[in-house]
Amino acid sequence: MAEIKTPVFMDYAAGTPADPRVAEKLCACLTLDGLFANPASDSHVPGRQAKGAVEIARGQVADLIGADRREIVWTSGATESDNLAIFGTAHYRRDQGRHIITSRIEHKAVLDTCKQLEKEGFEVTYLVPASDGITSPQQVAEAFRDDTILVSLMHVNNEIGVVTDIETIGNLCRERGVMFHVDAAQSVGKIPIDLADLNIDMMSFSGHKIYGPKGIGVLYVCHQPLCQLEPMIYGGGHEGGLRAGTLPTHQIVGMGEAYAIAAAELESDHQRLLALREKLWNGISTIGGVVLNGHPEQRVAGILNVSFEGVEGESLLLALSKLAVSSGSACISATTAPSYVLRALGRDDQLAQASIRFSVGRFTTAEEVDFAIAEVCDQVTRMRDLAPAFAAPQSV
Amino acid sequence: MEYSAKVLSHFRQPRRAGHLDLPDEELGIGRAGKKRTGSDVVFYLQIVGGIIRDARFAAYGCPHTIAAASYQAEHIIDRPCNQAPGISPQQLADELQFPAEKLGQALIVEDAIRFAVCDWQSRQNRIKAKG
Repeated sequence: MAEIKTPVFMDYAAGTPADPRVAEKLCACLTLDGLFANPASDSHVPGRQAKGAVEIARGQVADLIGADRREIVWTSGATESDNLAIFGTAHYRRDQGRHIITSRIEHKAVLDTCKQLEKEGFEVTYLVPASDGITSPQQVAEAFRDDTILVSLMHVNNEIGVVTDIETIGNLCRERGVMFHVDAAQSVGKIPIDLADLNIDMMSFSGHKIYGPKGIGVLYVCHQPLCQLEPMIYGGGHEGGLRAGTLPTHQIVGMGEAYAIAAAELESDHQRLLALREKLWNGISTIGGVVLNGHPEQRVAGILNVSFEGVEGESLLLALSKLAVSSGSACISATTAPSYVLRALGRDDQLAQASIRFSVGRFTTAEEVDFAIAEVCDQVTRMRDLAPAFAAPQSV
Repeated sequence: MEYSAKVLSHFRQPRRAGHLDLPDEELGIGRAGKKRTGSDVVFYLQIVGGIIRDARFAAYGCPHTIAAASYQAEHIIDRPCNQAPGISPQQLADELQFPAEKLGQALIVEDAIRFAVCDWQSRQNRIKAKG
């Protein structure tokens, strides 16, 4: 076996390395001999060349998701896109209603935005998913009120990888005239999205989840029927007045190239990642006491979230320091808080805390998966052997 | 979270992990903490003539819990049991460079050792009572 470079990177759901093809295109936009000029400077050739590159990238993003390029609004990433979609809709439609529907397992970019709107007088229903992580269309239908103006749900959950039925929920929203926003940061480029066939008003994307650069994202804003938003950033009227600010040509070109590559390689990437994820699951589940988090089939190929019985979360993460993975637990100074996503699924504190999200990607190899399996089996067994036997006496 | 070199050393290679299988007159077992609150520590002490001759531990918990148990187990041998553990939680936390919020883990380990000494004394009393 070839020597494995550690830590083995298995945190692609948090952020991917740029594809070398992306990095090459991106770098060509930075220097004097490249597309460095401000794309808003249409008074000279370099500016118009930069604008041309931005528009090519806009088309590349639109092509991957079945949108019209005029429906693409550049942002700084999916977090800003989520903010723009939710604040923008709520503020634009505040006279029509003050009720929003979302779920307990959304990304903080959605949850914290909704919390802020509650302070402004909006009411938010937080749907509780089933124990497999799925939020169903029926739950959405039952939560509608006469004053509901917006539903915001993620396409693929970032922690457990489950896939939401956005097609059916989109149809329900459209029938009622309720705006539907979807955070697709974890699904784009991994499962096919064709917005031409979906009743979705807004969709959030980022560059760095599919081998593009960080600091760049997109909000898809449907034109047919027209989705109207109140902007959050003013100062120049860029992006159809929805998002002011100088466009970062290099990041936009990088994101466009990443989306073009994803369009060409989506199917082959999917099959490869599915095989790697199954290999990983089959390997680590042999030690027993390993619980799969999320629906066994209705989930994206690259994410595997598991909880380990009988081990403590912080120690588990440190013991697995040869792997770059993320824990369901977020260390908050004195306490190690269990994952709010896994708690929403009904996992107890121990299982919610002793969870690991493995996410494999384009550059993950079968040898790295073999290494990860061996490392997980060794370290979990070591931690369990170190723990008191259940029969040991209890003094306090 | 950042970990000191000493915490990492004890976490990765715990000293004296395991248990002791001894006759009642030499054995004390103490357990402190609870798994559901994140730390569960058991100490096994061999005490002969009031002196701790051997020690083993089992621990479920964060790296600081495991490091604290390992460090105390390594340093408790040959101490009089009525002075156990001998190294205070604050001294241990200083030595292993614990962040302030982890001092509680050192206290749990101290409790487990004290309970083990109490358990040994209880066994002694039971043996004497039986004559």
